[in-house]
This record gives sequence, structure tokens and C-alpha cells, in this order.
Amino acid sequence: MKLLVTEANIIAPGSPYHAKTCDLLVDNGTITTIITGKRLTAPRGFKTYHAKGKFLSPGWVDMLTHLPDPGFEFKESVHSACAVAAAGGFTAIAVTPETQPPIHSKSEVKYLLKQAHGHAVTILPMGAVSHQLAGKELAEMFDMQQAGAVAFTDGDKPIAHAGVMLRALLYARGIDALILSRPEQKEITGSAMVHESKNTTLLGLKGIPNIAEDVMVARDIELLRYTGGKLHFSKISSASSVELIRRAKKEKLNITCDVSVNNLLFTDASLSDYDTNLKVTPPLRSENDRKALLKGLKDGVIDVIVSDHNPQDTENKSVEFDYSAYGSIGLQTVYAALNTFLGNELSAELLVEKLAINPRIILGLPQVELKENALASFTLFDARQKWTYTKKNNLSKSANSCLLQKEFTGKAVAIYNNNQWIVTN
Amino acid sequence: MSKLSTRHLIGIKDLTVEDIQQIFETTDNFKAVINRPIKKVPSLRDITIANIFFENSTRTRISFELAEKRLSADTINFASSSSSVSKGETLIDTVNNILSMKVDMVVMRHPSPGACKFLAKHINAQIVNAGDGTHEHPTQALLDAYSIREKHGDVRGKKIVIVGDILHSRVALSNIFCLQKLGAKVMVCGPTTLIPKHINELDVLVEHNLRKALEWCDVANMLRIQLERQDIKYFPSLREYSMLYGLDRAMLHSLPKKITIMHPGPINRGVEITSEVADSDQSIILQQVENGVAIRMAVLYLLAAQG
Repeated sequence: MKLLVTEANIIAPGSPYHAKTCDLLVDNGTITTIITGKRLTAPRGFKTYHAKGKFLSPGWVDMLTHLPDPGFEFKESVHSACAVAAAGGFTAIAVTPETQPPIHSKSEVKYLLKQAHGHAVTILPMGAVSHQLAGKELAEMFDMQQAGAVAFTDGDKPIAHAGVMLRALLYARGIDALILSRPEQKEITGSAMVHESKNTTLLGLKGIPNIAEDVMVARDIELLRYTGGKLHFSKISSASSVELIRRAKKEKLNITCDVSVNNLLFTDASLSDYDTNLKVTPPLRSENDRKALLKGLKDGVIDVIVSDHNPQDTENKSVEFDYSAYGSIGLQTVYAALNTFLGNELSAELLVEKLAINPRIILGLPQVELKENALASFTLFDARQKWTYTKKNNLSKSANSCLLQKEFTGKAVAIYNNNQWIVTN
Repeated sequence: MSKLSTRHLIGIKDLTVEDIQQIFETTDNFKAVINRPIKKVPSLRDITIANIFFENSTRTRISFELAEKRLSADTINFASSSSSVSKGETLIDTVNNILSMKVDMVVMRHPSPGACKFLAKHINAQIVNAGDGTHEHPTQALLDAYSIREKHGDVRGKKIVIVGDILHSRVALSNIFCLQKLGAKVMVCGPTTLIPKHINELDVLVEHNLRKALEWCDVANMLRIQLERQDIKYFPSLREYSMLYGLDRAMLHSLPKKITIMHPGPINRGVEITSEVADSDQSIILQQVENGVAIRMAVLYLLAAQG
């Protein structure tokens, strides 16, 4: 794909072109020219994209997409997920193993990579930590790693058994693999589905206290202290777990963490209408927790923002709150929603760090560099474009989002990746 | 006649104090009606009401049905102890099927909190919540407050303690909202494991000692232990629960003043209260049942006027 991008404002912390306005010439998947202070003209056969007023950054990587293919392709397939990701500005998505069958052996990893072949968006399979996601026996992590798995997680299922987690961390250290922990002590949660607070008490809903998360964060920090290696906490939601991780990082433990965009945008107060699109894991917590998560993002305790994209069909969502499946789609609207509702708090530079730079460091992927002869993988986004997210422009096969019909300011407008150029209309 | 501020009765939360007063005044009239030899009025003639119960209920269902019949409404009953989901049909489908038969109002009990609100968003008929999981049971709270008003003249300033399983009780939550709107002071009392952690943020006093709670109150509403709604064990045994929170005659008589005893039924005799207490002259349990019919007549009548 031959492309000329003109007058793009580069956001690439660490790059000499950072915060400069540049023209880029891209040919066959490689940046051939990048220049600032001068305008390039398109050679014959090159498409031109005028990016004046728009940002260009290294391609974004979502570290947590629930892609229910194989098994539930009617909710989202590899094909549709790639379209959603591209429209959301993501050049790569790390997908969880909660498929049917689960991604718990080499074959499923290979299936995903085969399905993803030829798409502009790169699929990064995450294998299961435990066989059948049952939390008992370790899955064949080395074999999956060889096949292309980038990390290991049991998805939204916490690894309840401390012994299994200990052995997973220990084993992963031996093969230099990354384990993701989604911390929640289910024995404390019981049948509760939302945060425990005044707001949810008023709704007659049983609550999940912060402590359900905190005890497992504390447990896994101590397990890692014993095992060595590295650990990534997936979707932390409580103010107290931010503090636990802050302390662990100060002690130089190799720990990282992410937060779901849902927990940045919403709180338990948003549940007053029993909107099942806001029934998510971990639960939407208090305003105090949300503020602590934002602070953690800014001061570096929280490394990554994830979409937690979780497509569910209407049969699983247009039902009573108790019976509804968990999850919300969000891959297409991560940037739009963050810029619209938190644009004053989170700068474009910070977002690029949380969406592009840090995920690559944590997943051990090569950094994308904006320089001549480097592989071209970038995202273009516009902080001022106004648009409304509708059922029509939603590219997911599912529509479980409470953001539908919302007007956004800010949009991911295009990606270049795998030698393909995709512009979102 | 002024109208209620709401088209549905989903929760006490949505009612204004004026709504409650109006329901009470209408109830006064209907109570007179049901104590006459001819207990029926033609107010809801040509109105069809579906009583849809997804959870076991005897007294609430009968009370609603009687209220509807006394108002000359046509009624149909649908009961399913299992949820609609387990039968493979969604709640919306079930209710829409019934509504296709030209039903004007739906009285629904459902095990899931928020189910009535969910339904109100998806269908056109008027909804009366007859209990949605652990959320609200508005007509029970109205009849409880009405019974206190009847016994004590006014609810304002009265001290009411709700004893038992607050965590799993829709009656407790609706009662708290209703009594507070009417100016009463509310306390909850029960085992620490069955009191929601954040309930004190609703301006409710919390007490774990039954004697202290009873010494404080004017009225004690003794809730039933909802074993069917407890997914895990919150206390060791009914025997031990009864030792700590069971009210017997000796304790009732040892209190400094004569308090009023209420119970939303059905009673587990010998667990939360002994038979002697339930049948004593301090108990207004059966008056509650009678008032239940009149309150439900008032609610249905006022909502029907909204159309």
C-alpha cells in the first residue's frame, strides 16, 4: 500500500518527531520518508491523506478483547473484530481464551492466527493458564507460546486456587511468559453482581465489596515475591488495589496492571436504570475508586487502558439484570469515549502511552518506531471530530453498549498496519 | 381527584409524600367498602388485570386478586415458580403474549431486582410491582405504614424497628423508603451478616441486639427469614437465629412499654416470633392482611385513573 500522509501531528513519546508536524511516505508496509518542516508531494501511484489537525501515533494495541470466535461467531468473529478494532484505531488486539473450545492448546492458537491472516489488524492470541479454564491443571503454555500466544490468562475467570497460581507463575518464569491475573475472590462475591455501596443497596442488589479484589491482588503480589518472574493484573477496579500495586512497584516487583475503560467512564451510580450493558466485570465501582484509577493512570501505577470489549447478543442482554450476561462492547469507542468524557484529564500523549507504548512493552512486542525504514504501523486520530455512535456505524456484530446514540468529540480516523490502510468513515 | 405522580407502581422510591397520602385516603374509603355487606364497587369494570407471578406467593397474589375482584376488574392469573428464562421464553415475550389478549394492567412478582422497571421500559401496560427480588415490595410497605397509622394515629415521629434478614428483604427496603417519607425513625436489627454494609448511609439506625432495639421502638416489624433467597449460609442455624433474634412472650412483657408487633407473613412460628407473640393483643398481623386488600384496591384504582 503506497501512502502519503501530510501534516500529521506526531504523538510518539521518545521519538525525535514527537510533537512535530510531519509528512510520511509509506510504501509496502515500510516508512520510506518522514520529514518535518517541509511538505512532500505524492509520487505517482501514492494515495494522499491530508492529516492537518489530526494526530498520528504508533498503532494502538488493545490488551483485552473478548473475541468469542470460535464458538460464538454470531456475537463477534475474527473478521468483524478486526473491522471494529480498525475503526477504533487499534492495529493489534490481544484476545482472551474464553472461546468454545477455549484457547488452551496449540490448535486453537493456530486457528486464530489463520483466521486473522490477511487482515489489517493483528490478532494476538492469549492462551489459557489452566486447561479448560477450569483453574486446576496448567495448560500447555510453552506449546501455545511457540505457536504464537503472547500471554496467558483465564480471561474473566480469576484463578481461585493459590497453588495453581503459584505454579503458573513459577512455570511461566521458566519459559519467560507473562501471566495475567484478573483479581476477584469469588467466595467473597457470592451471587453479587455489582459494587457494594449505598447506590446498589437502594437498587436491592447484593454487592461485591472492594475487598474481594484486594485480597487477591495482595495474594498474587506475595506469590510473585516468592516465585519471581512477572505478573500483570487485568482490570483492576478498586482504589485499594491501586495502592497495593503502587507499593509492589516501589519494591521493584515486576508487576504491571491495566484498567478497563468502563471503570474510567462509569460508576455504580450509572446503574440506577438496571442497564444490563453496564453489568460488567469487575463491577462499576464508586466515584472514589474511579478517581483513584484516574490518578493511578496519571502517576504511572496503571500502565494500560483496555477496551474489555465483550460482545453479547440481545438474547443475553435484553433480559432481567440477574439473568443478563456480563460485558459491554467498547473497542470501537475507547478513544472517542475517553476523549469526550475525560479529555480534560487524559492528554493525547498519556493515551498513546497507555494504548500503544506500554502494551507493547508488557507483551514483549517490538516497539513501533516512526522513522525511515521502520515497519509502518500507526493510528491517526482526531481530537475534535464530532460524531454519533449509532447501530448503523457500529461495526460489531453485537450492540451491547450504553454509548449508542451518544455524541462523541474525537475519533480514531485511520490505521496503517500489515501493509493495509483503513480509513473509518 | 388529583392524580398520582407516576403511571406505574414500581417502587416507593418513585412516590411523593402526596402520592402516599392520597393512597391512604383512598384506602380509608375502600376499607369502609370491604366492611360493608356488599363489598364490591364497579370502579374498574372493563379493566383487565393480569397477575403474573414468577415466584411463589399465596397471600400477595390472593390479596391482589381479591382487590381486583372487589373493584369489578376482570382478572387473569399466570403463575410459574420457575423463571421464564428456564422455560426458554423471555420475560418480554411472556408478558407480551399475555398483553396481546388486551390486558390493561400487569401485577408482577419476579425474583430478579429491577424486573418491573425492565418490563415498564419494554411494554405499554401499567405495571404494579408485587415484589421484585430483593428490591422493592411497595404495596407491602404501604399497607405496613397504613397499619401503623391506623394503630398509632400517625406515622410521623414513630420509631420503627425492622428485625431479621435485611439483606434479602424487599419488604425492608420498601418499608425504609415509605416510613422515612412519612417522617418515622427507622432502625434495622439482625445478624451482622444479614445487614447490608451500606444501609446506615440511608439514614437508618443499625442495632444487632434485639432487646436494645425493642426497648427503643414503638413498632417492631419482624421479618421472615428468607432461606430460599440465601445462596450461602449467613448464620449457623435457625435455632441459633431464634436464640438471638426470636421474640417470645417473656421478652415482650419485659419491655418498658407496650410495643406493636407486625409481620409481613408468612410467619415461621417459633423462629422469628413465637405463637404467643403472633396471637397477642399487641400484634396487628391480621389487620395488616385486611389493610392489604384495601391498599391494593386504592393503588389499582388510582393507577387506572391515570390510564
